[in-house]
Amino acid sequence: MVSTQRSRLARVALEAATALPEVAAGVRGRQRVWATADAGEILEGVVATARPDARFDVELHLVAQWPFGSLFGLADQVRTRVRRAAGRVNLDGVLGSITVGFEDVDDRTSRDVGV
Amino acid sequence: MLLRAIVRLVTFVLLVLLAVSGLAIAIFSIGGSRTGDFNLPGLARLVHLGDLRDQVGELLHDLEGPGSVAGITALCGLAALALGLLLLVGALWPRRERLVILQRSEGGTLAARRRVLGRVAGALAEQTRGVTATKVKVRPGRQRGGRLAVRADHSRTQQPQDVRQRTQLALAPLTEAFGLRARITPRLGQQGRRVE
Repeated sequence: MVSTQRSRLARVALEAATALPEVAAGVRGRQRVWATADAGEILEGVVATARPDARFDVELHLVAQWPFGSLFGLADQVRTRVRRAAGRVNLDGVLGSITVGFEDVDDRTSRDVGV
Repeated sequence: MLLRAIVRLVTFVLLVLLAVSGLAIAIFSIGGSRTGDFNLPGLARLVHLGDLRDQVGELLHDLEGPGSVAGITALCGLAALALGLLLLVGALWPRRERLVILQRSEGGTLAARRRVLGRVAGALAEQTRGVTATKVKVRPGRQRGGRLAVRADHSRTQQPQDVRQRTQLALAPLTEAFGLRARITPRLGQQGRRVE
């Protein structure tokens, strides 16, 4: 069970984002590449990429849960939560930019991932 | 879009032709040097390669001299070149990403797929007074932002220009914040639809 700083950061980010009620889940996308392995588990919808300055940029590919207000507000909430969560586990020093992509919206009636 | 579809079709047809030709050659190769038609010379006879060679020879001969054949052939050559260039453009032109980049900063990027934006835009537009139903199409821009095409059904008591204006205002939180352009088309709602 391998767990690195990068994969731990990905886990923290995904868990923080999906804890919001307006976020249904993370998605791997059509090419199934938006995922990170951590401790023997595949985390769907998160990619952490190393930067030259030893930080990691985090990409979150999320399904928003309908209804929600502003996309901007929701993305802001996600970023704030991710930064806080990273701080709690002393990973804020390695956290770079946070990209939030809303890949789909879940209205409990249909799902069409990767439109 | 059309070019890309043509490229796909042409590619498919060419691949099928290539596959059929390869299969035929492979099957007829089994015959080896045995006598009869079941060998490669037999295949050449079957598809009349000899006649084709004669026809091509005649055409090349006609091309050497002045006349209508040379002109038509030159035109066909130019048309083939143009078609080839169009197909190349269709194959190599970068595909429009179906993702709308809403905000890009040092802190990260905010992006959304068309369906998500369409849902938000639809919800905002349906809150407009007089609007009974909406249909939203989102077209991402090449770099950033994009366009929203909103069809707003309204009741008979509403003026189309008022509906357009109110819908524009309702969409402002989305369009202004993310640099989206909205085109609103008011339409008289169908009978039996929701009445606001």
